[in-house]
Amino acid sequence: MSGDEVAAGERTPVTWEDIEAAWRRGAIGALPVLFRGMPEKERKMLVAGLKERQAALRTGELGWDAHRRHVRMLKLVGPAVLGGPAGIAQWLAKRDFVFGAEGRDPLHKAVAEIIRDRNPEWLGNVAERLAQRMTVRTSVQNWFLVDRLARAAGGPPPGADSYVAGWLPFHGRNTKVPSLADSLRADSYTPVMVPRIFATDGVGEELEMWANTDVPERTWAVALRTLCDEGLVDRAQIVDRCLGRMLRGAEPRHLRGFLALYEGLDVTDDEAASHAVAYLRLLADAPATVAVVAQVTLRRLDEAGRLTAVQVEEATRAVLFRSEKKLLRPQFTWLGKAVKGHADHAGVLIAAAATAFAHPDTGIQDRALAFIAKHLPKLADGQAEPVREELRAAVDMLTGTARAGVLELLGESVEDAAPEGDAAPVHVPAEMPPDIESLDELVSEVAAFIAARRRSSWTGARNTPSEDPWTIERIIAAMLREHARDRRGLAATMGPMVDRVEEAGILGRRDDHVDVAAGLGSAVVASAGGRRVGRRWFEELFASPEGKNGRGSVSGHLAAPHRVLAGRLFETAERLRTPFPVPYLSRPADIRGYVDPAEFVRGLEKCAAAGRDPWPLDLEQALLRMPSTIDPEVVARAERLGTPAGKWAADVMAAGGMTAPDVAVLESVNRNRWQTQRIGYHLLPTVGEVPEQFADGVLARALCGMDQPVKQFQALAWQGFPEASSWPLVAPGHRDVIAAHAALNIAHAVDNPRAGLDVLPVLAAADGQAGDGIAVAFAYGLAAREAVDRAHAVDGLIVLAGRGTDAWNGADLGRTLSELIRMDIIRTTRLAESLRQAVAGGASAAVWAVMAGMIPGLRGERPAGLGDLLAVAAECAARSGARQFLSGLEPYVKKGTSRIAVEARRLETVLAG
Amino acid sequence: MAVSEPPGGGVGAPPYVADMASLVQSYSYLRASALLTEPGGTPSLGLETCGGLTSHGLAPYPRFFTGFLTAPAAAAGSLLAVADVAATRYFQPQNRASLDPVVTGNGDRLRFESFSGCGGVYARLDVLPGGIDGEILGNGTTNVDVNAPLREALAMIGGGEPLHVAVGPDDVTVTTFDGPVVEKKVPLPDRWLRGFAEVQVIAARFDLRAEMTGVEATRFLRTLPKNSRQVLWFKPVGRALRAASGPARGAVCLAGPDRLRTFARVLRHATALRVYGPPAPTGPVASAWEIELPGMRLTLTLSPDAARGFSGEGAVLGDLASASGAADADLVSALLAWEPRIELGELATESGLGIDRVRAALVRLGTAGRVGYDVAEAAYFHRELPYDTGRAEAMNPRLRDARRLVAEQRVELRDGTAVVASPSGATYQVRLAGDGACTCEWWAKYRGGRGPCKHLLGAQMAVRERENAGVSA
Repeated sequence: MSGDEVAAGERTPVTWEDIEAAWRRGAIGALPVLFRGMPEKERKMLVAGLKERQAALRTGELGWDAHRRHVRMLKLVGPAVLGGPAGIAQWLAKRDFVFGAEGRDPLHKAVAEIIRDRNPEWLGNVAERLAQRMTVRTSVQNWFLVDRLARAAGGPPPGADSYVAGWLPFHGRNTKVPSLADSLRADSYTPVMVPRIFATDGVGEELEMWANTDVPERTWAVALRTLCDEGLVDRAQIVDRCLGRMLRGAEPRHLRGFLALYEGLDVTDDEAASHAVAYLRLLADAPATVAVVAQVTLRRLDEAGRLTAVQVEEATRAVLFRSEKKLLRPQFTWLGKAVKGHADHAGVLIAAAATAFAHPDTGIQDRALAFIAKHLPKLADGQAEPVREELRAAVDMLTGTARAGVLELLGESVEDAAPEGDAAPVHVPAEMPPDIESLDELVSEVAAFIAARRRSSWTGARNTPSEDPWTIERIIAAMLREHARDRRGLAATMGPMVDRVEEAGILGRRDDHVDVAAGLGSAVVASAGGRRVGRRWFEELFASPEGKNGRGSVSGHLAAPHRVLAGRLFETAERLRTPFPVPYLSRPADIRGYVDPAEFVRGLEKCAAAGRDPWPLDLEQALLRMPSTIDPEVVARAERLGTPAGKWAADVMAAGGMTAPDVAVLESVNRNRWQTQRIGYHLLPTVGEVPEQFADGVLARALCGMDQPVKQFQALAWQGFPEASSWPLVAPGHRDVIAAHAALNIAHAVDNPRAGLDVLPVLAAADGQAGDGIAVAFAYGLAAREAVDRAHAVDGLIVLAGRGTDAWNGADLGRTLSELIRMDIIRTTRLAESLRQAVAGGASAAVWAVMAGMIPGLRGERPAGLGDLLAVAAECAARSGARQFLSGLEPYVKKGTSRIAVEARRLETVLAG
Repeated sequence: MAVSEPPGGGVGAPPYVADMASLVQSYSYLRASALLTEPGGTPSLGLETCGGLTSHGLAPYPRFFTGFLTAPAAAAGSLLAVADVAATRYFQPQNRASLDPVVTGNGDRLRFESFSGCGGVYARLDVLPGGIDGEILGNGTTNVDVNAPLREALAMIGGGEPLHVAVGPDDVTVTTFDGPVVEKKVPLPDRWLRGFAEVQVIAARFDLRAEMTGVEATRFLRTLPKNSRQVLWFKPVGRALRAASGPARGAVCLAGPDRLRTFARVLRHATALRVYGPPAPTGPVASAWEIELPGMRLTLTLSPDAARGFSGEGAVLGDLASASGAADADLVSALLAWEPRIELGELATESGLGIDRVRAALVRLGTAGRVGYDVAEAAYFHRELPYDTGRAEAMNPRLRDARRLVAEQRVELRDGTAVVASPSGATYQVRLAGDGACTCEWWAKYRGGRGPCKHLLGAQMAVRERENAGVSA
């Protein structure tokens, strides 16, 4: 060693060529020797070369293997030439070196050797700094290097949290020794590191990650227990830290490991008694898995007479405030025993049971009531007073039978539970949105539509705000108006929008990209004086679903109301391209979407006067938007025109708009093609043939004649419809037809987040009969997977309720729901939640009508969550004052404490008055 | 373009551009906050402070309070809740934040504030006079140390015995310690700072939307979907909230219900829940949820989306754009004296400015982190955030761009409209009537939901400039 140092002064300086030659020749071992005893000055001169070579890494010219070798060399040379521990640590942590040296590596030994040769005190310093640069989540890289340096330094382990995160798997994965305890015993860091497991956030998962529960000696729980027993770590401290760690809280996945450690310790009663306060807090705030353990421990302590009555009361209040049933039930049992054990404080303990009245679940309320009713009469007056106080406080938060029970216990008269007389808010129709007034505003609206479409295509259907149903109508009206007024001005202003349309990629270049946005895109391009876009898809839009060559066509995967909209937009584009303005006939004149018949006929007259035919889709859309009652004089004027358009219009107007096509429900069972197994069940609406008056129409034909809904349903599987709320404007008097189309979309909401359920409140407010289409659409909507989607259905139901019973039939909806429940298509719990919300919104009479149709339809089946549904039924029956015999309830009315039986009996009591 | 070194200096690393730079905040505490139990004595919670502005000027370790909290379990749970918010990034929960809460000695009350790492949740605990049995020793704002052992100790606090608390070390401790023993360095991004300051001004537009009892609140909060980042809407029906499908007058927006889980710790002590929000939302909006506890209030203010911080809301850009506001703000700030409730009328009389100008000045001070807003009192309160918020606000990208548009004379005013020629070559039509509108893509995307775009802001500035010129000429 000393000989080398003397020689170093005389030898020729080491160059980068020497280093690289040595690296190639002797690899790792050669370099520490090369640098040994090198004067600092000489090291400094090599730094520039180091930086150059690091820069070379980023050129990307090195192959994978060469890159890796290069990285390893630089990692080794850096500590030899850079000045000071800070620089070295920063160098080793460089991102450029991430791939090259992971895990245990001979390179680390050489790095440690090089640093020790320069200054042994740097080892610990570099280790600490490097550890500080890692986080708990990035400790995979460089952990072994840190470990090697720290151990070479001979000092304590690095203090950074990241060191703990690597230390756990380092031992957990050590399979060279028979057990984890052996591995830990051999590590001098163990006594220091074990307490740090509990102090570090975010490492709990590591305790379980490598554990194989089949081999107990490989788990941390067993290893730690062994070390405690051997006295290598302080058992009292570990118990304390473990409880403390669980108290501090974390996500359940991090806490599970600590819970396992705790359970492995087999805490004794003496130990537990000294930590009683900690258990009490865990009972209140910890996740259920931990709280259960605390509950069992405390109960054991109480039975051994080691808890005070105050502590039992605290435990009871803590548990009964929680919502987990697996905690609540045992607590009543424990409390029953504790009342005997702490007879002097029985009153306080029984009063604590009243905490459970805060739960909305009537089953839990009843349980608490039964408990108090059982114990209260046995109490002396002084003891009973705190219980009575609690009961008095609870009266206001209770309703129904629980409230009556509490009042009875208090010896007060039960006031008549008169129906609360709530009513659904009366539906107030929205106001017509204002027209787009200026060209600038038109550009803003178009830009906003494109931007929204662009955004929703990236972020998916979720969280996109509902689109305004009037956006497209307002844009069409404004474009046609400006076209008639100042065609060149329109073209100049819309010019910049063409680029945006192109960028947004909504022009429908491929068939499966066609939708309403493609239609609007064509109109925008046309308004700016551009070429014709979308001719091809337009031709297919109303063709048969199989297409010309059987490969399918646009119409196969586009919902009918969307085809109507897209078709009209394409026609608008055609109109914008012609220089002759023709009156716009289908402009909606009221919020429901009806045209003004007089205005419409005036438009027809203008067309006839100018010798032009009305645009066909415009005309047909206008006829679909005819209100049912029309001044006969207006009809006569249309008749007098003598044109084919006038004739058709007069026919339709005289009949009071389009005759409603039949909407029915189709039940179908999909079977596997080769076997008879059922693989899917569908309950979807069909729409009957197009009425005679519209036999020559295009749009009406698209809307009617849906006889294969299952096929259509499957074709629409991947789409949600952001602008479905505009659909009712397509055929204002035929909401059942629109609902039938919407139902195909809404049915997907049962398992998916879905856009387009906002059509439901609009349908509820729309005109026309409410038959099977409405029933199916609402049935699926009320049971949608996402609370956000269900909220639309609930809002719709409340609107329906507010419009009175003649607007719809609740029993129909109930029957459809019962069928979906029996076929296991929808989840009863979600439905119950929706109906509860509707009741809260004042629709209790309407919900009762639904229930009265649904319960008989269940035919005695007991789907999961039926108890919830019956509870809602009881509530809305009580609120709406329903008194009737309900067939179909008998199978559920039984003795026993099951939720279904309890709620069914409650419902029966309410109905009996 | 300003260039600064990354924290720790860099050799060969790319220099950080100022826009992306994050300031590093250094906290230094005399010792760690801890629950101290002297042998045979009652436990005492010692919360340690680090430098901040007080009524006596800057102090290294200010002392604000010593005395008892009358509802210790609720107070401990609330403190944990505030600390939890400071340590969470709700949008990317794996990456924990490590920011310390802020404490303010505010006349008759103590306020603990924190802002989540993601910049989307603001939490404040107001310990009201009724919850305090002790003495507020000084007014001022500073950070307070929170550490793992302290969390465990706070979680252990329960029962009804009043808890002794000291905020800040006493004089003896300050003189006996050689220097700080707890030092932390954490990055402090500009957007975090801007959000922390701006959330106050956003809350100033809120009204009370719903109110319910503690029991009703518990029932309601338990019905919320778990782990959800959806935007939920509710309609107040009587004393309850019913799920609604979308925005409407009086509706309450709850974006990312998961972010209310912080309340779980204190729910058992709750006596009421109050919800605040803007009056007529048309799209997702921010909301404030206030739990009333014995002698204190815990409020969480949530951004309009879990993925969206408060910094980009742009609610204050209009006020900041005016040049005269700065002088008003200076005048008003000189009159502030750590009031827990700033009375607009008094300030107006004292300053000689009208109520509207005082209100605008407070908005400006709010964005500089110098006043906070208490929705429950519907009033601003004086506090000085211990961060360099003024710098962050001046760097607001939209404001800077708008100023540049005006300076480069790219804004051409017409009658009620303006044409803005963007440096990229495109021209945009700006409408000035009402809230204004623009034809740029950014506007098309948000439609005013995040404040004015730079073009509209520039046009508004140009209008104001012309008016001022007209007045002086």
